[in-house]
Amino acid sequence: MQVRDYVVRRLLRLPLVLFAVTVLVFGLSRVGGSPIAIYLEHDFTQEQVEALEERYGVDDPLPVQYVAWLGGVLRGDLGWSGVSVAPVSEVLPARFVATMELALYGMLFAVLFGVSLGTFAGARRNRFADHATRVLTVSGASLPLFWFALLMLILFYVVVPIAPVGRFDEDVYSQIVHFTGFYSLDAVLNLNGAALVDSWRHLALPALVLAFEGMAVIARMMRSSLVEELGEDYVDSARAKGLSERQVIRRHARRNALVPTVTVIGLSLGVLLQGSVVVEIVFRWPGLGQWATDAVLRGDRATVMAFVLVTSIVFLLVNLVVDVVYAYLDRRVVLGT
Amino acid sequence: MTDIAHGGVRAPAPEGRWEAARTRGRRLRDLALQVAKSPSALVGSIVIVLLVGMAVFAPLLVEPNSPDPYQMPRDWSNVNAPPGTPGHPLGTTPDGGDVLYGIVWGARTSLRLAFIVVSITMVVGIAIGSLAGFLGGRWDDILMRVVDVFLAVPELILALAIAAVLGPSFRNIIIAITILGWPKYARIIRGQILHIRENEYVDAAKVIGDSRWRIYRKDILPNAMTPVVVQGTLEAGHVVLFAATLSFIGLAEAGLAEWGNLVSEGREGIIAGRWWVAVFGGLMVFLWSLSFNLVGDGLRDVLDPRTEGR
Amino acid sequence: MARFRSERSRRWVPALVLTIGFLATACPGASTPEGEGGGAETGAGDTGAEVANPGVLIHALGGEPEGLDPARLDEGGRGSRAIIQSYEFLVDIPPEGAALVPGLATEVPSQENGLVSEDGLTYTFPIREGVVFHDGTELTADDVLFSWDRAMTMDLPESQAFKLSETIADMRVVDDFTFEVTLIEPAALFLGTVVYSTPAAIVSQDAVESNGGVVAGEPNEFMDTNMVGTGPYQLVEWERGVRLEFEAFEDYWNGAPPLDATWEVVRDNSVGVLGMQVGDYDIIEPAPQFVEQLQGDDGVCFDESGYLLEPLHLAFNLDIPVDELPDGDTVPNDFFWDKRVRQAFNYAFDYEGYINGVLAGYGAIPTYLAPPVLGYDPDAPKYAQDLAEAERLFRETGWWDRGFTASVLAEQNNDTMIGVGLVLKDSLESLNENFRINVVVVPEARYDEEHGTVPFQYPMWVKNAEPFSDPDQVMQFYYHPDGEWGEVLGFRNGYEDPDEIAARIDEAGQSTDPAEREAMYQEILPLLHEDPMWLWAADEQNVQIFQCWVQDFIYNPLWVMPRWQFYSKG
Repeated sequence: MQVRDYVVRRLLRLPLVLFAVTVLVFGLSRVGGSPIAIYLEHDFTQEQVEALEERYGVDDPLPVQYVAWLGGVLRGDLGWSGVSVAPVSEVLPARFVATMELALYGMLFAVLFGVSLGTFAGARRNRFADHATRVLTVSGASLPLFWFALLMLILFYVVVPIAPVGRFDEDVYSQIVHFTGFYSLDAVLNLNGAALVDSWRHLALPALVLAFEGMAVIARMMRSSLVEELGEDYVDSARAKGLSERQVIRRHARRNALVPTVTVIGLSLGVLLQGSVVVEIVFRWPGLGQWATDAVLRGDRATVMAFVLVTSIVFLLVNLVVDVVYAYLDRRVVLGT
Repeated sequence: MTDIAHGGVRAPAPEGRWEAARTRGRRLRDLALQVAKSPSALVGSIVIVLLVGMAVFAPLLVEPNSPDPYQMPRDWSNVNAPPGTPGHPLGTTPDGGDVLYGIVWGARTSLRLAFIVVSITMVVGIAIGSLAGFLGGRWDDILMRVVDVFLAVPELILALAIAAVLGPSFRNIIIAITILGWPKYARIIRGQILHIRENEYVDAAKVIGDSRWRIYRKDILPNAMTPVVVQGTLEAGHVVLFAATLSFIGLAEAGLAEWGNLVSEGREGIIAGRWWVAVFGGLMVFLWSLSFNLVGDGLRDVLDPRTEGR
Repeated sequence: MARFRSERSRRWVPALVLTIGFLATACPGASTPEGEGGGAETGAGDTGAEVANPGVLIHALGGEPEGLDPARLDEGGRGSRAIIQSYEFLVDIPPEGAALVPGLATEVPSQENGLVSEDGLTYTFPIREGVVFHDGTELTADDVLFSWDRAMTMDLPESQAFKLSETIADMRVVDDFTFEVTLIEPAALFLGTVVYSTPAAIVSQDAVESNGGVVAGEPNEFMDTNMVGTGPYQLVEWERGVRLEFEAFEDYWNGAPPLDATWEVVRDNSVGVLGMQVGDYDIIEPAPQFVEQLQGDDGVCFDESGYLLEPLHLAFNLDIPVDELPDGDTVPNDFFWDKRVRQAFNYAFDYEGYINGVLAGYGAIPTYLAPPVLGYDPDAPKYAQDLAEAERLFRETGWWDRGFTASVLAEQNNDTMIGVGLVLKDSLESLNENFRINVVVVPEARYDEEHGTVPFQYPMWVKNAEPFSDPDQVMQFYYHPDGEWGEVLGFRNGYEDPDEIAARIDEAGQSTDPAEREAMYQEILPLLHEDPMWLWAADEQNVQIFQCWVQDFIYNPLWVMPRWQFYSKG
């Protein structure tokens, strides 16, 4: 099957899955508690509750409410965010960008360290270094992220106070023009070195903490695929030809080993997006994490729906891209099974 | 989720049915031996035994609280006591809950959680995945699309939404995780089934005239199980970690003897210097998760032919 | 393999360099904690040598307003905290004492100065001249009428507009600076509880009319997110989840305040405490258990005057819908009818344990009326833990042997409230094995919803009380058999003589002579003690914590929070 056909098929499937996801969450948010719970105060009488329900159209049957919501989304109206006391569409972009910037830097570290570590271990199969790396990567996958984040916070905030909290330093941040919302990128576009450094200062610790789990997953995959590659025939013949181990790895094995690793790299973005929820809470990063958990706990349906929608879209698109890239790289794979 | 990454593991097909059984028994023994060879898996197994032991023997190790043993006993005159306080070797929580009690009985809570969730999700996942793999065609499509939906949403977010609408309680956390856990198994077993179906001995069985159910039970299922077992082991570790994360975020039950709840209760105090509640709680989650991951890894190495003979 | 190894190390290098470079950028200078999103760098130590952020008062609070419209807000939320900084009322509560003083009115109406009619029905307010709103327009009596009328017209269910609509018969503008109100019936509480209440805040008519106007039954988005009042502080920017920035209003009629102000949103108690220690915040309100940490800090000062007017309490449901109780509850519909059962609960509760444990010592067993409130009697009877007495009462009523299981509803993330439930649970369960108390914790939104359901579907709930400044409010709300809670919780089923209680409360409320009222309340209190409708767990001590460089710190517990206009730094 052509790659193009595959992409088209996947793209067509995407809205369907998205639809199902939104229906699922929409239904869930109605299951327990009132969808207008965010607006309720302690001492409401029954009549007051009913008046509110009428105002917000909760009386309508569920499908009608869903269609109304969907229509709004397509128009760009995501409803009113009770936790933020503002339209969702006003608050969402800044939050989204903050999370994406954190996640992308986390990805950068996860990939860098993961690939290096994986190659390192894979080349030393079953030796001590390999085992030690395995312990490290398994630890990374087992470590409760919230716990790790808390420990790092104590270490670099209390014990050795070098880490700043939050996303930026107000004075520096206000100096630049925000083209994209990505602080580090905007700093570059503004040719402002101080801002760039400021963005990095604040990103450093949360991104590294976030990367830990992703790094473990990537390292593991890289290691096993490198081991597999090194077992292939062409490696033997390359060695026989007289190439050094280093050259063998660098020129051939590693590149091929990267192929299956790509899928994991894509998946790890998903892991990172989830992990960011916890990391943001601990490091007070103004992204989707705190916002969404607040909304979930306080019954702010509009915010929760928007959050789930946005995150799902990112997930699905990333996975699609990963599958396409993988398919492109390795045409031996049977597409669409 | 990507198609590729969930392709599943292939198992070599034995020749005949009788051979399959004998081989299977032998394989189990070999399996255990091979797993034990890996030092990390061995360490993991030992830790699991210790943790499970602590869970099972909890009433003997620490006197059960009454009336509800899963509630930490509270000492209101000794809140936020540091480790070493008389009567509270590991300190107390902001509510005066005894941390040692929370650790020991928390193991029991985790065992219950892992057992319930893994068994239910496995059974449901295998059932649905088998249906999809066996029936094929339209049913396969529909069921797999449902699986897709569950895997499309970040599990943490969905779990939050479910548990939040149901209310903060441990029971609801279990429900939430269970609802989200079965798709992984479904996918695995379906992939396995599709592959195995194509093997000759299954066709041979069809020729002989065996019913589909017998083929399924005797030939397909046992051989498709290996990756499921690996996944189950890993999940036993993962669900406890996941539940702890949900507790941390704010869905914990007041006073429950559960590790994640300990971290939640101790979180704010950390920066105030009251490290013991969250650190001990988190440490236990880490140990549990780590040990199951190590053993699961060990199992996977042994069972995965791509890396066989390493 | 030597070559091999060196090659390996080279692969590591770029990743390591990047990381170290990253971390290195985090090092320069003494990095200090900043607010979420960002904040000014401070170099101040905690010895008070150098004032951090001079010119701005930074108040760290555990959340942000749920809205800013006085016509929409409920009392007790954080919105009303923003209101008192930016809006004003016709009368005011001064820094000290409970007696009202003039606010936007130049005199407090009373019978003595003739501004209250003889029949007590008509109040005349002379309006202050030369007062300017944040949008530059001048205050006239029209704005007053508009503001009150607006709240009553919108009549939003979540608002407190009923306070106006249930007391006021008619309002009119006599002239530009005279405003007249006629009540439905005389009420001693009118000035203290209606005129000084959120829905009666004076807003700028021009601002509202240019931004959506007044629509019956509909909220106004502009007013929800902006404040246009006459108060000393003007809201400049609201960064959601991060901070609200206020500027000193230059044209404030009583003189511009010395400092600008920032409401910093700090949800984590520990982060707040840390921020205090390094000087990032000027005022904080941490949970009681975190106060201790700051005690040893030289730069931090404490104002431990008095108690919050919101005693923590447990409600008894005398109208239990047996079929709708949570699974496992065994109490019958009339469980709390017998006053001995309610007394027994009151005797069983471990007050000391709660105050020392949950409140870290910052609390006391509550009196029925709080100290600044008229009628307060320090000698009025209070309950203390008496397990022997509790046992006796349970035996007498037969519950000792029968046992029971009952649930208490509590709100999530509210440790002081959940603590009441837990202490009750521990107190009763350790008293008798057959007693089971389940503390049901639900998310805030669910709690609000359940709490408003009639009949209430749990045997008990935990909450903190409304901060009332007038005793009649307290009595009507919490004790009157036909009052707000009296009706919902079925007090008539429990009071031995409900009509007597009702009569006494009404009489005291209608009297306009403070001495007479005080005497009446002092007679009522013992009756309420004998036939308790609530379990009063504790009064939280009002501990205000601020940097010692904040000058002139003063706080009246009748305010919802410290008012920034009175403070300076240096």
